[in-house]
Amino acid sequence: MRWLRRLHYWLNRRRIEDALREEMETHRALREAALAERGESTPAAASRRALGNVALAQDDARDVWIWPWLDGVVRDAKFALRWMRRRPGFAGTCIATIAIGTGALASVLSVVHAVLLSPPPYPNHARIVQIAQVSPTSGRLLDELSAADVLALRQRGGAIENVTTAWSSAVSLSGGSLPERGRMVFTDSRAFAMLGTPPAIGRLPTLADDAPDAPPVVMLGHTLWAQQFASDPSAIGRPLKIDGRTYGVIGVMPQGFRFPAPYWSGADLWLLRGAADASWPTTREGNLLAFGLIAEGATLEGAQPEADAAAASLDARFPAAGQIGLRLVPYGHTVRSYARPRLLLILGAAVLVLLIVCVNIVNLMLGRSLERHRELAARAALGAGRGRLVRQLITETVVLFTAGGLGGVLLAIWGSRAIVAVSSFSIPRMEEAAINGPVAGIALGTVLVSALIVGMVIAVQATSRGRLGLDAAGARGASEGRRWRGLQRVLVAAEVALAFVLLCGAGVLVDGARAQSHITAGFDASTIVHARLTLPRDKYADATSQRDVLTRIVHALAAIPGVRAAGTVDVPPGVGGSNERALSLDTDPPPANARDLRQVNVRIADAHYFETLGLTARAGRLFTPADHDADNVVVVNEAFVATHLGGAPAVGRRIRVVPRGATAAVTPMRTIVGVYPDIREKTIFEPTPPTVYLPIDARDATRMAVLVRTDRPVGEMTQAMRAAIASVDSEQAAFGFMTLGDLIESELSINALSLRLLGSLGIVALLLAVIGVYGVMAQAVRQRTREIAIRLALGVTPPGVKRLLLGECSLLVAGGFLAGGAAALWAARVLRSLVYGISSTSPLTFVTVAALLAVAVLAGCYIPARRAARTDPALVLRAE
Amino acid sequence: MGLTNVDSDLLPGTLELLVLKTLLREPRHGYGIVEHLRVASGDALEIGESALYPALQRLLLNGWVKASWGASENNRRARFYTLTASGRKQLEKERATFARRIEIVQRVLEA
Repeated sequence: MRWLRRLHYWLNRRRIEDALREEMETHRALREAALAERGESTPAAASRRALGNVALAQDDARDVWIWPWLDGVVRDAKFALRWMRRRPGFAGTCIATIAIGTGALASVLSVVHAVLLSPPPYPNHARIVQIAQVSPTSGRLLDELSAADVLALRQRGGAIENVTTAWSSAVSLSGGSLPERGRMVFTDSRAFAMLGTPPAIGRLPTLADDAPDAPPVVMLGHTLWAQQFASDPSAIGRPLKIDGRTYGVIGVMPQGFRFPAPYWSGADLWLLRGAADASWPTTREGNLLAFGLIAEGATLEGAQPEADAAAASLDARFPAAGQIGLRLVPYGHTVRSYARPRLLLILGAAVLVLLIVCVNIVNLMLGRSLERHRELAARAALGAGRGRLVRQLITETVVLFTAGGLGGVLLAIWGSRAIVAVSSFSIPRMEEAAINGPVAGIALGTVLVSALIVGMVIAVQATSRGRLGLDAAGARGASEGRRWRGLQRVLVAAEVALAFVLLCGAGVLVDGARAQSHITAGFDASTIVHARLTLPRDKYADATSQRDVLTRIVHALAAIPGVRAAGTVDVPPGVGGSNERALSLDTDPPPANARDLRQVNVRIADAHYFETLGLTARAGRLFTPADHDADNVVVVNEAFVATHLGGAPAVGRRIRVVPRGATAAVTPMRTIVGVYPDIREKTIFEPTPPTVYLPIDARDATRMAVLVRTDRPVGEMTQAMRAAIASVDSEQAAFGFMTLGDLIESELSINALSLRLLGSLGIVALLLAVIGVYGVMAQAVRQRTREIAIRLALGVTPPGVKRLLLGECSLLVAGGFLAGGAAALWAARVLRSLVYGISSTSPLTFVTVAALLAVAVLAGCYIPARRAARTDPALVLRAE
Repeated sequence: MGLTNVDSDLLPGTLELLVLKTLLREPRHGYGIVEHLRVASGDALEIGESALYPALQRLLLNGWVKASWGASENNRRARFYTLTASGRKQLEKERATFARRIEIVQRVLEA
């Protein structure tokens, strides 16, 4: 209750203090009247005399209300500010250091907040779920559903409402002010019902707009509306030509609207063409993002059985697909969980940087407090209790950290923009990263907590009984100094250790990046546009008809102007698929059991696939259009030759590639006719597996990728490729148009972001460590001037002094390396497990990092050491 | 005894006790409290403002008195202080404490 009254006073203090003044004036007036009545000659003056010191009385009255310590803190803070103004260099260094640490932390936090913490930006976000397939083999969640899955979920109805889909593509637009390329998302009216975001102008689509025979309509993004229609409201109802087809504009979404935000944030428009437009359910292979709205009052857990039931009905309809589960997950769950470990790792690195900052500040402030010990001792002698001095030192630290923290948050506004600018958008909602209230709050809160801890350490150290006991007259306190220098050394070593850990982390990533830059895809991925297609099995039942239609499609694609080559393969390089089969060589003895067989990655490819990638045979020949499965020919890659043939000539050797469910005995021998260069068959990060290429009629070829090599942009190409495929079979759908370069880039981007962030943090850590070591050594040298002067006077040469100091410094560095080494090795291992493509780190990386750090730190020592060596002993000793 | 402006002229806490007692009968403003104390003490206690007002703030802070604006005898705006229920209880407590204290002092003086 008392604190409530205090708060009330604090909030209304001006009014209350005015009232008190008025009250006391009334009091005086009443006294004056009384005095006049009593016959006093000058009642006004007498009453004023009686009143005494009004200001003092008011101060006393106020002190009753305001916590005395709060007042003291304000006074301490003012004192601290004055003191900082007197020592701008020192205070500036501290504040800048803290600002850098806070800036790093807040920048990373802004990303963590946007990607991991903030809810999806839709009014109905609490009820929106994403629906994922559960892989029957690995149990992993797959983001993409098939049209059959979506249809099954819709048919069940129940607690999962508005099941909707989205996929994205690049399109060309005309009908606005300029022809333009745009990014669009195919979805349906249910998506808008699910999200609950009202349009900026116009109307939202309704179920009627989803009907196949309804006039095609489109929702515009705000930016596109502004650019193409100059924000003209009359855009509603106007026709817009998208990829040559005319759509009616029905509405414009508000500024900043994104859907589906974690995936394709840059969408410019939304076309109403839902799952029904995809080639109708012949497969459960996913190519659609699917979302749903949990019915009002239901929960995600409560709705899960509905999804299970839908999955069971699908299992019955597609027995060959295996038991693919359907799981309801929070919106964006899978992409978030993909980004989480790396982001947390980087957050950890930012915290390490802040830790280094704190150690630095402890060092600097402790050094200062040693210099200030006369001031502190004098204040103690004048009656300031230890508590009072502790409070003052903590207040000083908090003032420094507050100033630095605020500076850091300002820095982070720039920092988070820089992170967004360097990152590609394949990390969900990355582009939303910004310094907002929560982020600034968390960062400043962390900084304040650090400030209190740092302040406590400094205050307890600086006011330890022994030190304050020293008289103010200037006793040297050599032993005190020694003990304190011991602490300072431990802190510097700790700092070196922390910096070492961070730099090793960055080194591991640089190592990985260097490996990545050396190992390219093996071909020019940026000029290859690919699309996926699934041949309906009822239409193309056997290998011959599949081969036939694929050959015709490839011909049609190759005939597109600007296409230099076109081909087809079952799994395009760089997308992560592998297809392991048993292998036996002509020289292998018959295996005792099938498990002893060698394993090999198998691809099926047509005759043009190889030239489409732009590479030629290393030996022998590649497939020709005349090669059929019956010819029993294969092409192998160089990795195959190295692994299975020991590098011996491959052409003419015979192998068996055993299909699943068959045995080696019944599998025909195939002859190797050529060797193809290694390309990154799996992910860009993984070394090329030994691979055998089979002609396309050797296996079921219903799920294929078509590739074209071209210099034309992917948007234009998409158009032309769709047309070419339609010219062969007007009902054949194709999806996933993008360059292999973009595909690989999106896999690289999160690695690249980790590298850039961790690299920058490592550099910051290095700088801070150097500043810290420099500061400590500079202070140590100043404090040891007399000792150094004596050494010089006794005949130690200046280079000897330098050596002495640098030697001490080396010890610190060595200590730091010892302490940090184990942690660094552990961190490197964690990193390798989190970031693709870093299989091992050469010891050279650690040695390089250690050398870099050692040189930097010793350089920080060198300047004070040189200054010490230049000490004129006569001058110093005479001054004593 | 001259003008009492310092708490230490009285036993600690005594001024608060006297103010509470003064307000027991009726709400008074600051000058009224001072005047009452003067008259009641036979002109022995003349409390100065710089002692009275901090004491009043302490009473307000503890919730023992309430303040409200009213008109004084000469029609100025004045703040009248009223004893609250918890103030009444406090008065009883302080009274007992004070009596015990005086008794102790007396005992020592007479020993």
